[in-house]
Amino acid sequence: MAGANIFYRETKDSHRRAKRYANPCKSPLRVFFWLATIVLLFPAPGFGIRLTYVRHLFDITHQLNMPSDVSVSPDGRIYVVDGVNNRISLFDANGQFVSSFGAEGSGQGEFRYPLGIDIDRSGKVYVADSGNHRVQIFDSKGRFIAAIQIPPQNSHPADPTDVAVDDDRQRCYVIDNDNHHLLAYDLSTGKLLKTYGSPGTDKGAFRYPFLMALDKQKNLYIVDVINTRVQVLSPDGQFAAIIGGWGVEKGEFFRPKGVAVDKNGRVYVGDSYMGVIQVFDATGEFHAALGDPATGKIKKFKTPTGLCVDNHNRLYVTEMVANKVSVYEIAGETH
Amino acid sequence: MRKIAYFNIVLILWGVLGTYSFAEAAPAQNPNSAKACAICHYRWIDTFFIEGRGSDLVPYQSDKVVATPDMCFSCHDGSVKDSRARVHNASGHKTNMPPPSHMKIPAAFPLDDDGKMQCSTCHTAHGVPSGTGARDTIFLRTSNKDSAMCRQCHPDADGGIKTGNHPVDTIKQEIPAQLIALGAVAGQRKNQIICETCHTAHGSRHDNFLIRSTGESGLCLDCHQDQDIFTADGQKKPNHVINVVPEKAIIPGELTSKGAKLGDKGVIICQTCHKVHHNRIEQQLLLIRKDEKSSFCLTCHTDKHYLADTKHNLMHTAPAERNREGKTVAASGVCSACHLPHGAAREFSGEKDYTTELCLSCHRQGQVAEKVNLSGNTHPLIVNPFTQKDNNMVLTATDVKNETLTLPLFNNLGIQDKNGTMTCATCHDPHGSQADSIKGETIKDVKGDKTTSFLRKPSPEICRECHSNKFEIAGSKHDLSKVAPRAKNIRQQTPIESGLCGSCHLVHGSQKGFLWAREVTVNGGSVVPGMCFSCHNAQGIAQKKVHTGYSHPINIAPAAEGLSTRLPLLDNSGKYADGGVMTCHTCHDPHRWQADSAGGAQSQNGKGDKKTTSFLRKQAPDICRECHPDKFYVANSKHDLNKVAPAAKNILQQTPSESGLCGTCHLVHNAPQRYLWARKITAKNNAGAGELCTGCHAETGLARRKAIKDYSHPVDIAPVAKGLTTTLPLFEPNGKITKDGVMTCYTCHDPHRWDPLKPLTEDHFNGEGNSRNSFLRIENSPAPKLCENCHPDKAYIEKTDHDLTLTAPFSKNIMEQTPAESGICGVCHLVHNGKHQIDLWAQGFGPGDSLMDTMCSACHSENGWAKNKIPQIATHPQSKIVNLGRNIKGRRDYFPLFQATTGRPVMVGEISCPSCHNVHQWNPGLPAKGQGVNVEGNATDSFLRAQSSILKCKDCHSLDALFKFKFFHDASKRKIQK
Repeated sequence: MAGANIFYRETKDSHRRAKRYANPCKSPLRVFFWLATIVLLFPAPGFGIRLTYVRHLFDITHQLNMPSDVSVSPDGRIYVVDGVNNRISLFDANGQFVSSFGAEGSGQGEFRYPLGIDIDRSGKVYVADSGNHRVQIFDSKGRFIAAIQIPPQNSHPADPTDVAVDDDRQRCYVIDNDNHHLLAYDLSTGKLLKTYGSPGTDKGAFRYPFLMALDKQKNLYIVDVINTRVQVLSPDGQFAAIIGGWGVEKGEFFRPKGVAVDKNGRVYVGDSYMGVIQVFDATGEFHAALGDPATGKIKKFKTPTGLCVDNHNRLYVTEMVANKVSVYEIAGETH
Repeated sequence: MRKIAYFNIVLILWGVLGTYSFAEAAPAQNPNSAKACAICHYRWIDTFFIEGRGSDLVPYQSDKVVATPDMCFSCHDGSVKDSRARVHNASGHKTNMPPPSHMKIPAAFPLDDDGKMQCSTCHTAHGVPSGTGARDTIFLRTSNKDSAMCRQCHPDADGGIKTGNHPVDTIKQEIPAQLIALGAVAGQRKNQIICETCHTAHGSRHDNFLIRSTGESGLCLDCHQDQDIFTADGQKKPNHVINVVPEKAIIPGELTSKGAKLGDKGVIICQTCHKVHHNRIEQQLLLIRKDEKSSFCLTCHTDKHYLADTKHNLMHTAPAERNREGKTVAASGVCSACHLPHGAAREFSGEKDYTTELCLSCHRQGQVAEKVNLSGNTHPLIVNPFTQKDNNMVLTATDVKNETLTLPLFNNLGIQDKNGTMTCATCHDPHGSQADSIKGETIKDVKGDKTTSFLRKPSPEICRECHSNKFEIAGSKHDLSKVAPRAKNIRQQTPIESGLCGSCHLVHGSQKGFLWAREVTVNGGSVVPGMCFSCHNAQGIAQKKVHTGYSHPINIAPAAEGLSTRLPLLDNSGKYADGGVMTCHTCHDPHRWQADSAGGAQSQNGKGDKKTTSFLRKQAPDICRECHPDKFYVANSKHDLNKVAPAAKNILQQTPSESGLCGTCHLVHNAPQRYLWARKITAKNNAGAGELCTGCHAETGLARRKAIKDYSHPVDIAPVAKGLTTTLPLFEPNGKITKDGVMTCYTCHDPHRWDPLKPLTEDHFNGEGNSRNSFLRIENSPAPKLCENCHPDKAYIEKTDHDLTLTAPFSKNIMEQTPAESGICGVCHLVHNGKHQIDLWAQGFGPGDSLMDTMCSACHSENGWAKNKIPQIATHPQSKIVNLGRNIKGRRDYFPLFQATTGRPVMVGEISCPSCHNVHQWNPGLPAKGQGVNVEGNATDSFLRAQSSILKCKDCHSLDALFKFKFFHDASKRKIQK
């Protein structure tokens, strides 16, 4: 039960850093030697932190145009949100193109710049059709099943950027990015169950929540972009914890975008501007940054956005500006 | 001081190590490491700006980065605002590059350190709100109200017409809704055009950040709809074409170098002629070239230069004529007489295609070119020359294919189109050619002829373009230049003057159908015959080929006769019509001497062979077959004279091989007799069709072996007079079929078909016929259908004991025919050439006292076919009886007596077999055919005439007549009595 009941505190790093910044010149000589040592021994980033190595398997580049998210079906097929092309593209487990569905428009099966995606245990595909203010549901072959229209908030249109399905509770969560809240829908009735959050910086409040992921216990990890953090909600929707914070140090974010949780409870968070993916342990503490085993350095990505870790411990990284999804095997780590 | 010293050491050390350089970092203005600032000012993050280092994750950021495309995209990737498609993935205002050298960027719009434009050049988070709320603001540095910000950097595109630019100001019309829907922005004032009405800084997929493509002039036409070449309902407007690939016109480098553009796939667009920004050439209309008296037109339309020296240059022919703008050619140029780039130069009703309308605007009564009046019948326009009906029979007017046609066709928009239709401009190039040039002459009354007249080719070659199949007429008897060189058409032109086609056709101004160019003096009953008869009459130039006697009918509708044909039928107006009437044109193609020819084989002096030449559409007899396929069963029959009498000649002294299958018996033209009969008539009878048969079927005739002799079925009698009815054809003396007419050979025979049930599949002319064939209209065996048609009461014999096909199938009549061959009736009766007059008897005679009895005993005797049915006591004691009152046929008590030696019916005579028996009906009370089974007879049937015969017995034998009849007709009892 790793990860259970361990998020009800803020991270240690933020307090420690705040204390240090309060009086940076308390011991100048010590600081000098400390800095000199770091600069001499670790002239480039990545030499002072643990790295989780990822071995590159293949890239998916088939006619993608600013893809934003990726998900893997129970039978191993890879679904990529090819948003500017207004379609979902399917690839086999080896990254070979299979098919695609969708076109620009507002009819059934059509999209207007979709962003997020999730797949349930039965293989049904849920797509956050942002520009059409709805979530569309398809079977595994892309045939339209149903749509959930997301209502506006105070006359401001909904902006669903991601969807996550809780098979156990037969509900799906939808992030409304522009309205800074999370909505839960009953999948058997399509009715709105509850709305979580409001605009703000407090716990449980959001500023532009974007993508999200569920762990095995159905805790919900929501990337809170402008609050530069990942908020964790318990399965009953209660605030549980915050991962990360503002900054460029390890465990901090400048532009957090994608989040994924592996079967061991490790949380992967990508930062699109810094181009790094950090790994947090089940307690929410920084664990490592993804590294390149070939160089022994931090692995750099081009605008990493949606992330996914499948049952075979494969990591899928959507690199939006690079117009690709890069696929890795998570393979060991340094000290 | 120690703090300062330590900090300086750090700086120096970093500088020496050279890993990071603070020296490159320009000092920020009012830098603030607060998250609200550093969230865009990456450089100001504490780690970089306060601590002066990189982190484990990222290197030290020394350069100022804010509002770079990457930074903007870090929020505009959908995580805050989704600008992927509009800003980052489409054509947008250029960034990350320096502005053009001539452009002066105001200081309010900062470039980056490299002098390049970035997002921050126009946008800043500290700018003015430009939207309706914080959610929509785009954070421009200054207000862009009415494109004010655009104009600061692009002043040379501002100012409207006077500065050589498209107007940016209020206009009369509204900004079209479709433009607004595409994202066009209107100015603050009503109907105000601003930069963003046509351009958008972000999200355009088109050149120059236009909100809509100009590749097909769409953006321009949204506002300038009146300049489109289409009306809303798709009609062509008299505007210069756009969105068409120029074919003859050439856009010269002189124009493209000045900015003339072509659209998608090289089509002409508005910007081919107009330059909407920075126009220093012609600022009133923003033209790409100054237009001085049509010089702009002729820059591209170099092939129109000949016009200046033709009569279509109104400077020569109508210098005072003014176009719809009221301008003369002298004032506005030679092109302007007929063309204005955006509107009709002449009155345009829109009834016809624009090209035709334009021509008629002068070439019509009361207009400047009325001398060339195009009234009357003219060559058809707006027709597609590729529509072909049946080239094998040359039923089509044209035989051109679009890949070979060199003349231009036009679509309904007046644009050249290979699959379009004809207009005036198909044959005429109104802009002239060298042939039309009157350069050096000032005489405007020079007449056009077949080589000039603005024709694209001289006549008749221009006609040949579409009508090459008509050119087989050259050198034929219809080539008047050969056969009647002095004959003149209605324009008083000889064939040499009019040209090959002009002898008979006028392309313009004909007063008759088919553009007929000759006087029509004889009423032919419809259009085409009248045309033919204009030469083929007693006084005409083809007086040797006039109609006399009997000819195939014309002006009749085959459909009315139950016929159908692929040959051309015409309606009253002379147009092809499936339900139309036959004319000369139906069988003859006046342009082709030899049927099925591929050219050549002409004859001016030789005679036609009636079969393959003579302008027939198809060779005979195939052309006859087109309407009369049922007559073609005659082939290979005994009436196919080519088989049975190949040397026999018709009245034109043609053998069958010369005359063809039909021609042996029929002449299509000038036959001396009815039925277009082509043979001599030798018989004296006048029984309609019958006389034709006896012409051959006579003792001295061609078919003497089948001559009709005595003792045959009567003809020339009316069945109705005998109380008979029939569905077989009966005839009036003149040969017309009528239900009250008389019988002829043709009543029972169809001379064109040997077997009524099946066509011949092999030669039959050597075999002997029987009652199933022999040209009978209806088969007469095994059922006597033909005889039954007139004699239904005799047909009751079928399937009785007297039906020898059942009871004596191997018996034979005197012609040695079995019942199957002769038919049931033929067993006892011969229709033709019998040996006995009495009942055309076909059997021998048996024993007996009277002729009638011997006819019956021919079978009912020891040597007869019915020897098992011999009545032992067959005769009544010979004594004459008076039969008054019972000799009336049809009465219930009919009891005929016959003269013993002749068999003729008599009123006083002796009783014979047929007095009591009707040999054709088994049961007198049941008028029906038999059952086909052997039934033992009794006193109520047994072919007895009627029960009433008993009444006759009673007259002499009182009430015990029946008992006496039974007693005396019982041989054993009668013997005892003796």
